[in-house]
Amino acid sequence: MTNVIELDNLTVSFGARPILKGLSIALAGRAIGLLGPNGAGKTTLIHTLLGFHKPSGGTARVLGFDIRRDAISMRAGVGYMPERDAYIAEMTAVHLVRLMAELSGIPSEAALERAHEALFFVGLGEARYRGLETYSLGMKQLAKLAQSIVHSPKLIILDEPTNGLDPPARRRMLDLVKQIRDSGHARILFSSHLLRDVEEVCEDVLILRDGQIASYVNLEEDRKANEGALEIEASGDIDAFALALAGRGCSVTPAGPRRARLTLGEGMTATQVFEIAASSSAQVRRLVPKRDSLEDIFHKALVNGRGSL
Amino acid sequence: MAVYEHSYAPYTGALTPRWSRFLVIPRHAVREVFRSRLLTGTFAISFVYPLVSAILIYLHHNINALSIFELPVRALLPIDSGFFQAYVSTQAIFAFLITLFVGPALIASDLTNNGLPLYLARPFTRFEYIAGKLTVVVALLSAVTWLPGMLLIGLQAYLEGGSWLVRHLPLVSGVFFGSWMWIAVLSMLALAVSAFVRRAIAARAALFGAMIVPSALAAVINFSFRTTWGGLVSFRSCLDSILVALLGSETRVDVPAGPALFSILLLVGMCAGALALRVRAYEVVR
Repeated sequence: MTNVIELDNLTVSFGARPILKGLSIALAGRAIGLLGPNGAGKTTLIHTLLGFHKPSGGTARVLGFDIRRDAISMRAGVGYMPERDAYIAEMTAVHLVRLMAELSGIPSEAALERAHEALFFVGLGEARYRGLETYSLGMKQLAKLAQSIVHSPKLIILDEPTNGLDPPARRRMLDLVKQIRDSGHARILFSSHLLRDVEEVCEDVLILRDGQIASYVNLEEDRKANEGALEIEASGDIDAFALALAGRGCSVTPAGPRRARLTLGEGMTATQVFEIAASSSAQVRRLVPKRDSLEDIFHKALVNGRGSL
Repeated sequence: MAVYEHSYAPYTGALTPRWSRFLVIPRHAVREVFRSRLLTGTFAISFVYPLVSAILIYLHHNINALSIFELPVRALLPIDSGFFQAYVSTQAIFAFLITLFVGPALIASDLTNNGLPLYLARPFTRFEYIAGKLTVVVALLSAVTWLPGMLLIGLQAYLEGGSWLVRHLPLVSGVFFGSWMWIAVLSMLALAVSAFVRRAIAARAALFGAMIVPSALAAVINFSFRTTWGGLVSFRSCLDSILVALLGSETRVDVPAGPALFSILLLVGMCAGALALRVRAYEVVR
């Protein structure tokens, strides 16, 4: 898969205050999550990629276009859903989305047709002639999504798209994003502080901390790497049990009193762990598959990543 | 794709040329602007003076009509530089009223509702955004100033004969450039105020103040220092001076045209600087 975003020593400062500190990475996934604590630089990175802020050092390429030299060409292929409430006063949803389509270069009549399509797609078909001021928060979020996809961008940047949504609206938003992702027509950069949302939608995750890259992981590969990993709690002769497991090719990493993280040896099954425990005079109290959740990855990245804790 | 097919499909049709996209803004804005009955009424009334002027020009050249109304030719205003100076000055008042209705909300509403990122995240520059907003005001003001002015000159030239136009070429440039000076000042001032004052009603008050306060200040300076150079701080005095110079009229003015032009260019430059400063997708807190 081709790189959708390439950061090349990207540095952004506001006055003397550095916000992004020499970021270098190539992002290639279908849906890339952008995570980080408040003030990590997520929104600044998005705004810089869109050309709203000038880099003070380095550069970035989005869809192959350099953001310093070809910002306009780049933005033709990008759709953006801002984090904050954003609309144009005294406009209906269909008017707003049509205007945005026309500004992206779609002729007037086709823009109107596309506006209807986009609003039906996001589920605002029946409310498309209502003024945006009368919309609920969830509806405004959907209208923002509609305007971000109306011109068929190749990259859709979603900044906190589920912010403030109630559970059904959040579910609807995530389903729409997944539908766009699975259509293969557009790649997605999904910025959120809600780990569950990112985990559900994204395949790759870029974690920022203090303006630096703390981690970049492919969730699927990470899951595969964790296959055969178990969390075990045992009693009895634990030392003999650990030695026996190591003798059978297992990797045992202590994870607290009587608890360890266990990676099974080649060809081994969980049932054999019980047999080894019995032969070592130990009792297995708990044995569960261990898979790093995004929360674990996020936490590890913040502790161990390049950003210091 | 039919609208009832709720799936995501890309657009594959042709795109409009890039240079023309700033015109999307005035096309959509003008539709909204004329929803206001007050503005529509003011806009309609602003054509009364050009209509009366056209009738006067017609009467000047129609003896039969004069005799019907029993009017001596001397009772009519002469069709000279004074006639067109009065035309531009009167229409400038209507231009100001229209600007007062239209201008302040143009950028202010986008700033209030955080609409700028929606525009500027597209293949659309800040310059195009400002040009688009400017076009809304410029188009409306052109319709009530130099466009009818040119028609009046055309009517006079048609009735008087082609040689009149040759003898009065300064009138053509005076009405055209004099109107454009007003349009440039009013539209730039309106957008600059709109970019700084987020509430449209407050922006209207600020724009009204920008017209009244400098004139009052100019009067105070002139009175206090027994001079006429105070007119330099009033864009109205400056524009009058420039118009008089363009038309070759003999009306007495406060300040010479050269310094007045410099003052106007400075004001327009300051408005452009203010717009460049304020029209950004996001404000950066340093």
